[in-house]
Amino acid sequence: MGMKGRILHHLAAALAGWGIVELQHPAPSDAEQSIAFGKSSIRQARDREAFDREAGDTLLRRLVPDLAPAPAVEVVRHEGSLEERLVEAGFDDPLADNPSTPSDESITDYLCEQIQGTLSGEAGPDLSYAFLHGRLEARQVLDSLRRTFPDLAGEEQFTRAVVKKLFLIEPARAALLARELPPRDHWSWISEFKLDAEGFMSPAGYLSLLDLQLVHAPAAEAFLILGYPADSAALHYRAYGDEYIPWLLDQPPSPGRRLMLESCVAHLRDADPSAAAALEKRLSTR
Amino acid sequence: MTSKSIARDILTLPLAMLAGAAVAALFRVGGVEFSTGSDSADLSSSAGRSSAAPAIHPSAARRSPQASVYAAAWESLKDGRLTSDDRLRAQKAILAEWVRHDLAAALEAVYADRPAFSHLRDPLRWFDLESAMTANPEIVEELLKSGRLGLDTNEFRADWFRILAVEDPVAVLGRIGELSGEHRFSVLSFAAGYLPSISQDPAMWQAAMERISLIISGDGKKDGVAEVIGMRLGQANSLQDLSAAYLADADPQMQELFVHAAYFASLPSDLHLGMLEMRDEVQSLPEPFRSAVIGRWKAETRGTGELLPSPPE
Repeated sequence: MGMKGRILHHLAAALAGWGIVELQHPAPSDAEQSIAFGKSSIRQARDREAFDREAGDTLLRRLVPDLAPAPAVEVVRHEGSLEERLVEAGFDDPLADNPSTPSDESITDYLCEQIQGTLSGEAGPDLSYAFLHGRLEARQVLDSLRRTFPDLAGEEQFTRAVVKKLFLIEPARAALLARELPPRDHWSWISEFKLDAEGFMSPAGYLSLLDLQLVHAPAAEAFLILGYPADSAALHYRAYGDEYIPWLLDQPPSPGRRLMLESCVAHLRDADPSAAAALEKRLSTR
Repeated sequence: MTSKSIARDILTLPLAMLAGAAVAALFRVGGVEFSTGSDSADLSSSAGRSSAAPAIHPSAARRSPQASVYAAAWESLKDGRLTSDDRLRAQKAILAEWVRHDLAAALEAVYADRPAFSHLRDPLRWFDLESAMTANPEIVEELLKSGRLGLDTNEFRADWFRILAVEDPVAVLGRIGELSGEHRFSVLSFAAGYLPSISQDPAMWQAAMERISLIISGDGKKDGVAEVIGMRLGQANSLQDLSAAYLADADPQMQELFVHAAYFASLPSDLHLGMLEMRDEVQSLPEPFRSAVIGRWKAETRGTGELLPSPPE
């Protein structure tokens, strides 16, 4: 058993310590939780800086005189059974064991497609842009979409679909909708949505998700997660270059940050051995 | 595992556990400290909630009053009251004037909002920012050095270099070391694509080759850097010109580059028909270039080598 194994054991122990605190205290409020997962809350704080709205509006009236607030979105009705509509929209799965009972996934995908245009402000207020900047929380987006799609809002998978879409925009704050999902789902939705969103995700989003996963994963599966970040660390390092590691070092301490830094060391050992040694030294002296 | 290391782990594992608990506790404290009340607008019920006029933030007041108005207008759009198309239209109009008063702040705003522009192929072009940037290179360079763009710095530098490369690919090749990660490769390939052919501008070609030689002798072996430059050179140059460059250059790495370029230059022009046949003119190239190019063809077409005309012994 080498250095690597010991690191894993220690990380697992740190996770267990983290988990104990989580168990002893009920989940924190939305606002509290959002800070725990990094940059999204920073974005929120920054975005809510006061500004001279009147001057901004005057300027906009001069620059784009015909600009008007988006009209309220009209309620969208859906006739017929969900099964019929899935077939019609091509979201049924003819290869399923029982094609007349659509899977959770195909229902979720169908619902995602239905809400997409409304969410992205095609003909009404731009919910996704307001959500990106913390002017709307996930819960408010969900409520708004429920009013627009009354015939779909009753589906068990509706919230799931909304969370899935919001994950791509700002994962940490999308995750606050977790409480709307059945409890048994917590671990699985984090894994599933994370996999879906990974390719699009900002380093901050990825880090916040990793922390969420580490907190929510059943102890037995925590070991599985420890292997994930290696590829993502390499991916982010390639995409963001020399700014990436300083940024990571700047983030508040968390198990996810630690894992990503360890993964960067591993990645750098091939690409840049002296940088790897320097980073390793820095990590060990903290 | 030795008994000594077991003993050490027995001591340190609980410490790690405590550390995890401490960090978790720390986050709670942080959360309370930072928590902000929810004052978000519910858009679906009130589209225009624009009457409230909070005080100007100190950081905005420090800037010139004229410039901060653009920041305020940009900021006010974040409530999502406009449709996405209208919001983009408004942002474009704001930027058109903003770049004249505070180019750096305008660029910062665009990069901070990048997730909202992911569907635009090239936001800098879509918002017409390129000419303001090329007219004020010192402001752009200053913004790059300031670190204000944080994680987006590398991407911004890459976008800036792509704009510069259209006019002056040689200068960009000389600065390629400022880029890191995958952007280095993509900008290199982009800039090489704007190099003139040898006969078009021999002096510029020479300057470019000096920089490329430095790149290739540096980390050029990695990630197919030499291959992609070779491909670009092959697309721009005739076999005769590449042959002359090969024979004039004593550096084996550069010779290899010209051979690779010649492979691309000797591809048939109707490649899409699927017939991978070497152009006949390769046979009339002077030695040892001819043999080197044919050798390259053999390596590239391994398995389909029968398509090659058999070289005379």
